[in-house]
Amino acid sequence: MAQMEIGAKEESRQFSLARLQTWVRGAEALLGPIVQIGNDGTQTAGTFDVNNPANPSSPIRSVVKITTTGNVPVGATKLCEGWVFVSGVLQRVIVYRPAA
Amino acid sequence: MTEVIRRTFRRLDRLLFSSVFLHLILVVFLILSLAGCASFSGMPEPVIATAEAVHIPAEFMPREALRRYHAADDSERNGMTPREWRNAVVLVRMGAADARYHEFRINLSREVRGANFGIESTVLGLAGLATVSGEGTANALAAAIAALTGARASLSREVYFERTLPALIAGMEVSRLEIATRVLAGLGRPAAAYPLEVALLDALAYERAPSLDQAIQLVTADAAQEAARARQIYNNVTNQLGVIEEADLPTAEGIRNGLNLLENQAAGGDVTIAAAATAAIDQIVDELGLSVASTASAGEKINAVRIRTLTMTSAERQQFVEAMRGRGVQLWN
Repeated sequence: MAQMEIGAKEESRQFSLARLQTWVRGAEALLGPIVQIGNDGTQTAGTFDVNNPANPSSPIRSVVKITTTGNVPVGATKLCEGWVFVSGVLQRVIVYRPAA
Repeated sequence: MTEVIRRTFRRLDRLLFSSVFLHLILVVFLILSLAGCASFSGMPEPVIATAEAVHIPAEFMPREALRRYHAADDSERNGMTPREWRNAVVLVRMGAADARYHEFRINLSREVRGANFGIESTVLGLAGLATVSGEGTANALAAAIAALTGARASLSREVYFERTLPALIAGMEVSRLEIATRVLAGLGRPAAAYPLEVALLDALAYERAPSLDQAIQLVTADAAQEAARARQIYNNVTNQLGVIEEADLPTAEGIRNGLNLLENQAAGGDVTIAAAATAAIDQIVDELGLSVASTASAGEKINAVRIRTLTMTSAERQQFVEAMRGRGVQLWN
């Protein structure tokens, strides 16, 4: 499984939660499913599973939520969890794929 | 023999259960505990008593010191130049601040260690007593232990938690050292460059530097930074990607799918398909102007292409998809 680490540019520290989710969805579309999310001290970063056989043409888009428990909604698939910048503040978020 | 011991303990239990005797035991324990506190300190006593060390002669008090500092005649300053006078005034003041700080440290150490040690001893003693007592006495003693344990917790909070005390003291030392460095540098300068008025203000700051409140702020800030570092899982992420808007997601997915397909075909078992895929990959690498070693594997070349697509604009990605489609690469399943 080949993986690629990338950072989010365009002042990603100030991303709103919605903007962060758009970034994750874009990176998944271009590279593959997200497997890890976090930060490098200055920017939000993620690891993506490139050349994953998952069908990208009709994906269920991932959702990013701020969390305190790490729990995902019933039926959803937890993809990863980590500390990222949301509106300039380090927040614990969870990334999951909702049930079909 | 066992019966004799049992009877003895029953008598002892009755005796212990009498509230007068119980109170007497508690008082004795507390007195012993407090007596232990008196000599429990984490620092040596100063050679010169604090009361003596903080005594500043009247001529060194600010108003009088400043009057003499500005006097035209050195005789007003016991024969010293203004610079020498300034240095003497400030160093005496800092020496007094040091003495006060040392006293503060001793008291802080004594209060935290002594109080905790004393109460700990009492709790241990009462707990030991409770184990050899009857149920009634044990309950009464358990209540006393609980009260003392609560007192210890409360005391620890009041005197700023024992475990972080070293960090707090280190914080205070840092503040003192910073100001002391500034003052000592100033004392090496001429009187006009570092007048006594400014030096006295710095000396006052030095006096006030060892504040637990400030130290807590310092330690808390350090802890927050430490926590942030602990939350950081990436280092030196070199590849970056901007936001791909929702409308451009199909294009991005086409690129991803096409590159994955080429990579898999190049590594597949069908020689003809693998050769065609390898040729297509080389052509893409050339068209994008990527510097990839000719000996690189198909996967390495595709990764170089993937990295290049991260920095493409929306229009460039669209053109790239069209180029791949024109080359006959399957972009969508």
